[in-house]
Amino acid sequence: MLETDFTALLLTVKLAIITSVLLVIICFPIAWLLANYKGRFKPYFEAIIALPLVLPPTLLGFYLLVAFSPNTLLGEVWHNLTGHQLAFSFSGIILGSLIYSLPFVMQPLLVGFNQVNSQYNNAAIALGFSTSKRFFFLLIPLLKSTILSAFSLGFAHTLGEFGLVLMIGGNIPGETQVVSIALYDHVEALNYQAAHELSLILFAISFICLVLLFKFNRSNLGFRGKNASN
Amino acid sequence: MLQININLALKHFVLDVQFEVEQGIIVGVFGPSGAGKSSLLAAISGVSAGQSVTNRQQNIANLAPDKRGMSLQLQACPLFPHLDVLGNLSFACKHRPKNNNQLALNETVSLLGISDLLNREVSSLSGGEQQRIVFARTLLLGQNIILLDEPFSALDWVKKQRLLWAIKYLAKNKNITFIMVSHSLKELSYCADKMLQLKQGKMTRFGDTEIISQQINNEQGTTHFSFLNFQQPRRLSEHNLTKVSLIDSQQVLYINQFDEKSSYKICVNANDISVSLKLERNSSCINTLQCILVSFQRQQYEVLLFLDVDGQSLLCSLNPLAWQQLGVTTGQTLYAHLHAI
Repeated sequence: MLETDFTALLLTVKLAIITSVLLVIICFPIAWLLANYKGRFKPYFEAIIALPLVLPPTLLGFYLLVAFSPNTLLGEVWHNLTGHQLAFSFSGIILGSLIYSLPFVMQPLLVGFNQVNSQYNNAAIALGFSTSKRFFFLLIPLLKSTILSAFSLGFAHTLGEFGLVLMIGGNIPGETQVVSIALYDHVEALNYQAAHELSLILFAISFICLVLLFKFNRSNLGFRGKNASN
Repeated sequence: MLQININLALKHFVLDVQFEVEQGIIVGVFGPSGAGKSSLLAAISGVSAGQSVTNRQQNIANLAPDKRGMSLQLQACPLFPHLDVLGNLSFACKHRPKNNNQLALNETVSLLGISDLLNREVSSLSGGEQQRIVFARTLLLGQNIILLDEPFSALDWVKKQRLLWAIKYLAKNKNITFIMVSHSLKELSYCADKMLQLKQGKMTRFGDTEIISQQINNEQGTTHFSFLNFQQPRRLSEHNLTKVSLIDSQQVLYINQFDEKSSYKICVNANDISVSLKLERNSSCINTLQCILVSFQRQQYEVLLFLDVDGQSLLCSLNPLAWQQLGVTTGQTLYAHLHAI
């Protein structure tokens, strides 16, 4: 395996871990609010969250690139704070991944909250448990495996990112060159041997991620006892 | 004193209920499915929109459910699956409000007879076992007003009696107010002090249980029943029976199933009684009580006899033909044969 491939692999795993951890932290409270929100704007919020699922990555990439320019508020604030620009940087592709993988983390959490709400949260409200007690001592423990599956889905999806990273990050080894781009490079250069090796590794990591995901999903909610081990 | 004044538009009717209860009283709410019983509890507890509810002269209508000083156990009230049975009970003790009645875990466990279930996983419990633990958890939240929605629907009568007795005990000794919804008149008659009948959201009756339950029975033509109070239960293990004496009386009864930790009170269905003018010595019926016919009521397909057994009332339902054949008048002494107790 080439050294540049190894660097790309490490960078990809780092990107996937940072993205999915941040997404779980961001999405958990939002999913809770959205699951409890019954207003008429609910479908609009849900649609905004699901948009990255249907929009082409190149479209997202294009507008992110525009937003990252030092002439925009985001680009300017970022430049003043860090001294770097967002486009073609690791921070930039993290921001892009956060948007790109958002629905994959948000959806399982929303489903989890809806399920817990109808079965357990409503009963706990009636019994007279306060909001903070329900959130910290009931919802978080009950949604433990949902959080894990949201994390692994976000992780696995970020691993396969290509178009968006290429547009906003370019192809800088050690900074923005992720595995999918390195693979693309090998194919372009007709280096099929290296492409096969990298594909195999990516295949193995993704497979393991998905196996873990389905394993967490099997033990739905934080059930104890017989059900959990089935 | 808890004052309820609810006027709430629901999907098919308006829920319109006004009543007040002293602290430590058990109110039974009776009515057919869809009469608004659960909606009534939801409105009192604050789960549904704010309604006029006053507790100890303080208006609590605008308070959130956790600030009202009451617990509502919903009909579908599950145990928390990430904890075992003891974990569920400890959860209630740990997270209950500070100003509660501090009901202890041990006391509750022995009161309800659930010590053998403590180390079980929630998923391994039967429906009836789950209901007992859910009820224990509600009690351990320690609120002084407890609202129960069909809490014992999965339990048989013997197990139910013990829990109903526990409610009576807690109301009397810990001054807890209970408002309990049930579609079993027998269950409510057994433990409630006051009864409320709901029909299409309207409160059609409210008053002392004995009177209201009698009226409902007459109205619905359902099986009448009465309760006999007794004392001094003695176990006759060789016959698998318990011998008890009626209160203020020399007469005795033999009971099949008896739980030490339940009220000394037995429910007798009116159609499980037959009567005769003479004491029959050679009979297979072991429970015969001497009584006096106080009055009778002719209904469409039955005649209801009101009997007095040494100061306690007993209801007996007879077929009109049997009544004709018996040929008795009020004031006469009869022998009531109790089957299936």
